[in-house]
Parts: sequence; C-alpha cells; structure tokens
Amino acid sequence: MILSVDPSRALPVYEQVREQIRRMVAAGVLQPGTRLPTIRQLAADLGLAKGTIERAYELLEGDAVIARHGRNGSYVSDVAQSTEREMTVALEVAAEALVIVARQLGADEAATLRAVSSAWKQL
Amino acid sequence: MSWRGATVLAIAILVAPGLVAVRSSSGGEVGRKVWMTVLLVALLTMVVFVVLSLVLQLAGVDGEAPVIAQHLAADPQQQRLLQRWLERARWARFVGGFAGLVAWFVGTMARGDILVLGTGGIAIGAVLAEVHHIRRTSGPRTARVEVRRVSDYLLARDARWMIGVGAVAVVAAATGVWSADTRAATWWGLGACAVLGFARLAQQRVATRARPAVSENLTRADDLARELAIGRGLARPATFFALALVARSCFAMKPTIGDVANVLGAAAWITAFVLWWQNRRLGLDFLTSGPRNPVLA
Repeated sequence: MILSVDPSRALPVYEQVREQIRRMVAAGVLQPGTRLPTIRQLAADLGLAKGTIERAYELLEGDAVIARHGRNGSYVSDVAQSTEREMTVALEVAAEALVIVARQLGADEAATLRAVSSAWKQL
Repeated sequence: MSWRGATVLAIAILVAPGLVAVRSSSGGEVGRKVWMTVLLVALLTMVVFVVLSLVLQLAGVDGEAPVIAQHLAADPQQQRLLQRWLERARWARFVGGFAGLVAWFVGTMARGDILVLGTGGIAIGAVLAEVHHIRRTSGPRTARVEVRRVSDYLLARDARWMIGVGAVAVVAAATGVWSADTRAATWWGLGACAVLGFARLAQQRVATRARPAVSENLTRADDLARELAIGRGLARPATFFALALVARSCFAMKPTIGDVANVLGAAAWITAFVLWWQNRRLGLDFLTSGPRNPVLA
C-alpha cells in the first residue's frame, strides 16, 4: 500500500493523494474500518505540508471514502468496491503510460519488464 | 577493545603494581622505588587512556557501534542504518552527560546533585539525538499507508516505568503543596512530570518521523531503530532523570515528614542510579559479549 506523489506534475498533490487512496479503497486493498495514517505522519513521510494532506482527507471525507473522528483518527468507510473489470481498465491505463515512457527512452520490452520487476520488489 | 575489557585492564594495571610493591616491601629501598615508578607509569597510562577515550568519544568515535549493529542485524544495509542511529544516539547522550557533569563541577562547585545534572544532560542529549530530518530529493515521493504509533514501539516494561514514576511524581508534587516549607518538593515533582511529558512528545515525534516507502529490509531496520529510540533512547533516560527529580522532591519534604523523606529520597536516588547504570551507553553492550544471533535475521 504505497502512495507516490510527484510535486512536479500538473495535477495538484492533494488530488494525487486523494485519487490514490480512493483507488486503494475501491480495489479493496484498504478495507473498510482500516485506520489511515495521521495527517502529520503522512505529511512527514511524503515531505509535504500538513495542509496538503488535510485538504486530501477533507475531499476523501466529502467523497464518503473515509470518516474522520477528530483525534481518534481517520478510517476507511464502507463504500462500494470497484469491479474486476474496472481494476483491469485502471491497470491498462497505467501500463500504457509506462509503455509510452519506455518507448520514448528507447527501452525494449525486456528492459521495461525488468524495471517493473525491480520496482515491484523494491516497493 | 570493549569498555568492559578496558575497565578490567585498567583495574589490573592499577592493582598489580600495588600488590607487587606490597610483596616486595621487604626487598629494600631500591625495590620500593622501582615499584613506585612502575605504579606511577601505570597511573599515567590510566590518565592518558581516560583522557584519550574521553576525547575520542566527544569526537564521535564509537568503535562498538558497528559491532552492536552486527549483533542487531545480519543484512549490511540494515547494519548501516542501525549503526548510524547507534553512533548518533550514543554520542549525543555522552556529550549531554558530559555537559551535565561539567555543569555540576563548574556550576555548583561539585556541591549539587550529580545524578540530577548528569541524567538531565543524558536525557537532553537523547532528545536532541532524535531531532533530525531526512533529506528530500526532487522528483516523486513515496510513503506507505500505515499507521505508526508510540505503542507499536514502546515496550510494556518501559511504559510501566514511565507511568509509575509519573504517578509518584504527581503524589510528591501534591504532597508538597500542603506546607510552605515543602513548596520545593512541588516544583521538583512538577519538573519530573514535565520531563516525562516532554519525553512522550519526543516519542510521538520519533514514531511519526518521516519514512519514505523503502524496501522491506530497510523498513524492518528502521522499525527496530525506532523501537530502540523510543524505549532505550527516550523512555529510560526520561525515567531515570524524572526519578532523580522525584528523589529531590522527597528530600525537600523533610520539614513535614522527617526522616521518612530521607529514606524515600534515598530509595528514589538509588533506583534512578541503577536504572541509569543499566541503560548507560544505551545498555546494548551485553550484545557484544554473547554469540552473534541478530535480532533481524
């Protein structure tokens, strides 16, 4: 369950966090009732301002993806999970983006798969 | 050479010439002079050894940290992470304790409570050792969606000590309020509570300290470093420093409870001393004397 944000992307960082947590919840990787890290901890881990994570959590609460209980923390809500088809589509979209980057770099399929495998093991 | 070995050697250097000198006392003036010279040389060696090791430790040279790290983890990457933490934590504690001793010697002309100043210095050093940030590089940043709490890292034994000493400090502070003669006891007691509260905040900071999503290996080593930092690094120094303050609080209650105050104060002082002794240099030296059986195999 890894979050990855890139401040240099056009999409605001809080949107990146929101989108990824929403995806994990929809895929069932984050089960209903799972406690999320505190704003302070996640902000420190990602090297972001607390306000950025606060904004992402606010939006997730607005989406009914999480429920916030003040000092008692934030928990994943009981929301409908995405279907297998939706997960496959999401993976295909991510894979296409990777293949585009690999081709722009002149990497072949084997090198790209090795990079994926290495990243998979590392994370 | 380990500190234990060095201590044994130092005692041997000191005692052996003395014993021989006593045995040869019947050997005449020349024999005594020879052995007095040997004793003098041995003493000088000792002084040089102590000064040198003091300078080396203040400079941050820690020959034991790599050995302890090897006893904590088998993987070289894990060892490097743990060694870095050990070196920083042990150095900061040493400098803090040394500063406390200097404050005791210079500030109070060696008349103050050496335990309060010494353990206070160690506790401050321990907290400062944990105040650091990881350097951020540009590009994507990663984090695991996991909750890290103090309770995940703090051993029940250390938690019980902190709560117990805190409770005693509250009682001591409250007891001191009843008489104007024992008002100092309240301040010492409140000081002990503040130390424990501050330690708790520092523990919270260590638990939630930044950690990017790294490999499983490094995550485990980082978890162990956090556990050591929160327990041996922060909880124990805070406990023995707070207990040293509680001892002062007990002593300050003498006008109202008489000699019982001295007994309570002495008991707290001795307990604080024993806790410090067990936790000196983080209390991990015992690992180096046994067979290597890494915690992170």
